[in-house]
Amino acid sequence: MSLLPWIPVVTLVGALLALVAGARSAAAARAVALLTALFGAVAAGVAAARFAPSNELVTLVDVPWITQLGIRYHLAVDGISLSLVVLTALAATSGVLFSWTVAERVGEFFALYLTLVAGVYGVFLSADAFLFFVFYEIAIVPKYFLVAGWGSTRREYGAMKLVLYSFAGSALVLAGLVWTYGAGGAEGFSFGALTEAASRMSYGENVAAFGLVFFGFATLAGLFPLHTWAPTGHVAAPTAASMLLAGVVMKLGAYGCLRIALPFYPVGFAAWQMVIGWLAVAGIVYAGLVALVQRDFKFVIGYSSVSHMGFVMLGLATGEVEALAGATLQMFSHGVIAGLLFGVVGRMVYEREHTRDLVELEARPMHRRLPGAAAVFVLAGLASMGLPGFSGFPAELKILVGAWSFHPIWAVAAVVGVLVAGAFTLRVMQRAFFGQFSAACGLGAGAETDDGGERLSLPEKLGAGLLLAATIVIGLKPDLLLDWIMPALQSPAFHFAASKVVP
Amino acid sequence: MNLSLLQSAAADNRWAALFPELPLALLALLLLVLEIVLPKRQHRSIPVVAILGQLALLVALLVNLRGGMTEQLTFNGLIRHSPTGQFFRVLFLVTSLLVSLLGVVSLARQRMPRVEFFHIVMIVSAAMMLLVQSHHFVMFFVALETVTVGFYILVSYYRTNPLSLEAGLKYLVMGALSSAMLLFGIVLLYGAVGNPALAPSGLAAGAMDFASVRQFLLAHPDNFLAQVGIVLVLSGVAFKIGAVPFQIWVPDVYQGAPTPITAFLAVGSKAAGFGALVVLAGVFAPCKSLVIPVLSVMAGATILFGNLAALTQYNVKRLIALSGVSHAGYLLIGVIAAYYDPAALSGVYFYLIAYLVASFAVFGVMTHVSGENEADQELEHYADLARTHPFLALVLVIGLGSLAGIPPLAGFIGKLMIFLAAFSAGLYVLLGIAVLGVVISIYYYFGWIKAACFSAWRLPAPAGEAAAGLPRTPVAWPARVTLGTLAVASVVLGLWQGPLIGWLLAR
Repeated sequence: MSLLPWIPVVTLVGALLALVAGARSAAAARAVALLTALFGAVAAGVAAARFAPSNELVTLVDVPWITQLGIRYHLAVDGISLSLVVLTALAATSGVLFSWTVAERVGEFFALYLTLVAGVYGVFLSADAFLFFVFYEIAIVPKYFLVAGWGSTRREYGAMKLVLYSFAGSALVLAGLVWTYGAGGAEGFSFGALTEAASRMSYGENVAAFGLVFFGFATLAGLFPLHTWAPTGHVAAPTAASMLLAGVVMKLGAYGCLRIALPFYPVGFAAWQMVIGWLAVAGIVYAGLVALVQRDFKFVIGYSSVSHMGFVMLGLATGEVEALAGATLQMFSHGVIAGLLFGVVGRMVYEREHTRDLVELEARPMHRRLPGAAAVFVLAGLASMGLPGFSGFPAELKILVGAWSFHPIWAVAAVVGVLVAGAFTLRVMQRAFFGQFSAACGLGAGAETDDGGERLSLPEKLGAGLLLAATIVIGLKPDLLLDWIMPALQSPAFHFAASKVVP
Repeated sequence: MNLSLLQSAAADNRWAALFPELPLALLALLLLVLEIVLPKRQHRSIPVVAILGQLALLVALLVNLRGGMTEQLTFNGLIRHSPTGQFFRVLFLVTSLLVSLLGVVSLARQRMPRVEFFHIVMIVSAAMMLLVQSHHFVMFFVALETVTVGFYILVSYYRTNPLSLEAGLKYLVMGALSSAMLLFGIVLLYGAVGNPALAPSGLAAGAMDFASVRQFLLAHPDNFLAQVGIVLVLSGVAFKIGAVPFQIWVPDVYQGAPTPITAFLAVGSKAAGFGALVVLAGVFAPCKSLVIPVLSVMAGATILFGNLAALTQYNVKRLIALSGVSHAGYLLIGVIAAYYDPAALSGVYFYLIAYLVASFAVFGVMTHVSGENEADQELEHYADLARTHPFLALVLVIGLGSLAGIPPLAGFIGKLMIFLAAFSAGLYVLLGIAVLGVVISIYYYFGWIKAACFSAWRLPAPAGEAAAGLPRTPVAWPARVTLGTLAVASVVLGLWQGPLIGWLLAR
């Protein structure tokens, strides 16, 4: 008996319990949240240990829901969704650890947080497009409250922008799916039924429906030029929420593209392929360049997320098995790394220094004041630059190889993006942590006398350790995930990709 | 007319078939009698009688739900009983009950006569039931006027409040205009149908009967006089549902009316309008090529106008009024889609249920948040509601979420059903507008939620001035139970609506 199908339900119950517990004591709410997140982690871990890679979605639960429309509560798992479930478990657990210091309305905070997490788990596990959509929306709504209620810089603006973009995107998705259901005469919303219905649509309809569904999902994945909600939303969000937003919620969009848009409408995809590829490349380079000139630490990370998600979209645009696998791996990798980076900025630096202004941080000997944060950030930054040994490297490599064989200019442009990513990461690292480094080492007169630095708290260490371990383990042995992902990409749903084997 | 004719006509008067209407009107009369008979200090029990009486009627109606469903014409073809009519009876009885409950809360803050309020609400509800079951233009007009005249009084019920009086006056003027248009339309149709030169033989006698109008239109779908009549009749109904271009009264009247009456207008009057529209759409079906474009333009304009106008509102009553206009637009799409596939009507009915449940949750919260002057309800008065009244805030969030159509709440399923019907009917342009409207609506619904959940930064009140915010009415247990039930119903209908949809589809 697998625990997987229980994760969304248990997480929702955990959200309720956190709300109830929070009314009495903050500590109880934290404990409930941590236990709930740990349940998800254990369930995902057990499932991962027992997982036998197959090229089919393995059904976990399947019961009728809205019978008149053929909608079912159908949860299933394959290698792709399991990777992302594991990612969610990691991000959710470390998110709870990083928000240990939230002091206001703790119960409500964790209730919303867990609702968001439950929605995300639900999306990754759904095998019915309608159910998928419902979970998708369940994940969107709490974001608004988390950002508007506990956020910082221009939080109400950021929250509203984020919600409007998300809802606009999901409205497009719903319109596309309902159109397919209606025009194609589907019997239900199961993946198979809708794929079949889409194949009965005319060429023009197929192309238009793909456009609706893909760009609806791509809005949440931060595809250029639909990305503008992401930096403002990430910056405004409280630490744990931005970890989840960048780490997992953006993946919902990319996962929707991979799981629904591409397999449902291979014909439409072929028509849009070039557009998507160029937009992805533009996003990689543009967001990287913007990140290079930011003054707010968190904005740098926000734009870097958009740039990295560009790689995922590029991998999808090539429509080749290797690149799709790379895109999935990149989703996992970026989820872990973005979580880590936002954790460092929001929790470790901002809560102690009360500024994220790089000019102000540069004037402080941060490497001495927060040596732990500096160490974590250096590691995370290296991972973010895509150095070998971290998970970003195999993922981006696979995507670049795929892009090269499909359209060499994309690969060249994306490599420029990698260089820009190196530049902005090094810049922010230098400004934020090592601004007074030379002064401190060389001329003793210039160095401020300072308390010998602040230690990271235990939850921070645990949270950071968890994510660092994940990126290093996958970096050293990407086959752990690829062994799950590759068979899943051999399934009939991804037939359009397998048929185009690179000679 | 000789006596035997009268007798045979009266033989068709099956009074028992008017089950919830007649007892409801009698109950309303009983309230007035009680006010005369009872000593003054026991007058407080009259609202309790009203509510318990309606509750009993509702139970009786539900127990006997199947009984009233047989299709039949009574009262000489004035009234047509049908399962749809039975559905609307339940809907209006629930509406009337909820309005009475909110009325108790609202009236407690006013120095106003109480009993007439409940009396008129119940009479109007009974008239709404008859309206949607009418099968004859005379019946139709009389029922519609009963509803409208009742609302003239209810809207200006708080007569010491200038805004309430202004609202009453506006409703009166606009209502009179629309009644005149409706009547003119009926007369034109009567003239056309009753014309012996045109009509098939035998129609002239029952020229106001819906069946003969339909029969006439089947034979002469291009009759110009009849077409003008159709457009005028539809205009009169459009006034009831607040569709563009007959929405102009909506914000002012909704704002000025007592909050329970605003709810009654928003839910009851709109549902009655749609019940009538569905009947008329069937009657006018032979003139599809005229009716569909008229309704389509109306629906598109209504959705866009309602949503765009609601964006700029700071007064919540105006906001909910204009958002209600946009909901009428979505419902209109369902009515249009029903021309292509009658099953679309089940979407309209489900939408009405979801709209009723969500709206009353929101109006219930509004009733409690408002002060003595119910027209004065700004978004900023909701600041910090989540901290001071978490229960009300939760109900508000669920209600607004359902109105905005966020899954998995009931409003989402309603929208989904209507959109699905519109897709299969091929109404792509209207759908595009509707989807756009839904996205726009998120902004103002979330703006309201934001106001309720997060404390706004305010200038500290200068010394001597009272802090902003209204005295909020404490939530008594009947209101708590009602609001809790409505909130739960919004969630449950979103997650599990199988049997209900099945029942709606079966009719």
